[in-house]
Amino acid sequence: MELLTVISLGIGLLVVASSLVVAFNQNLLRSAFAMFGALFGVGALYATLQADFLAMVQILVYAGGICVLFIFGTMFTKEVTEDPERSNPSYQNLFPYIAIVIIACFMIFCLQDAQWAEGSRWALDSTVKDLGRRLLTDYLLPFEVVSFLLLTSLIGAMALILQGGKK
Amino acid sequence: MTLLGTLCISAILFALGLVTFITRRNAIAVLMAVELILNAAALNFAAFAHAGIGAHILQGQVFSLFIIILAAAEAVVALALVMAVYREKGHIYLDRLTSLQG
Repeated sequence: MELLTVISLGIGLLVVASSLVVAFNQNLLRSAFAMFGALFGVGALYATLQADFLAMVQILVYAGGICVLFIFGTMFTKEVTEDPERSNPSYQNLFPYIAIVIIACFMIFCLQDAQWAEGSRWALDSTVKDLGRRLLTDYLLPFEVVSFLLLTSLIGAMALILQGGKK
Repeated sequence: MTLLGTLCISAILFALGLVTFITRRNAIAVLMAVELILNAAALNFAAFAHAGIGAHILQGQVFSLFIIILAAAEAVVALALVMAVYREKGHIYLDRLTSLQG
């Protein structure tokens, strides 16, 4: 086994373990902190897939932004500080867990059964230049639409919070 | 790692996100589940881009980039909604939010 495979397997184990904590811990704050591990792990997997810019964006946006937002939201809602052990209750029934295990086994079985046309393992120096060129030529319209969407969501979030305060 | 390994990790991530999404009562935990599911989808796109499946290389990475941006926008708006509900009701347990119009 080469070194990269071992590293990728370790990162994959980190991702799976962190998302297990997110899925099954009864303490919401621990789930929120385990999100860090899962999102950092996905970022590291991007790096092993030769997506350097994507890995950086993942760590900046997810681990630096969204995860901190989740921890803030967790601490802002009062249930956590009142009773941290029961802040993240789950549905007390076995059926959804059985269904999910069956779905996961089915997906992995289908993936193993499929014949993927594994072609060129391209090796670029850096994807940043090519990604930037594509964003301003082939994907110019989605790029502009996304910038408008970000502005809209910013204003919408502020309006929601301010309206809630007035009542 | 092979394409299959990355796809298996992505499938497990998706399944765990789905079980969190279905079973949790806290709204913030449900938002975390949505992020896990979107991460699994973006990881799939990056893996296929790396394996060279697609019209041209980097097509999958651009898709992953857009997924990350949309997930950020979605998380901000959804968390603002959760905060508004918390101010209104005093809790964010989804099974107790049963009324419309306050």
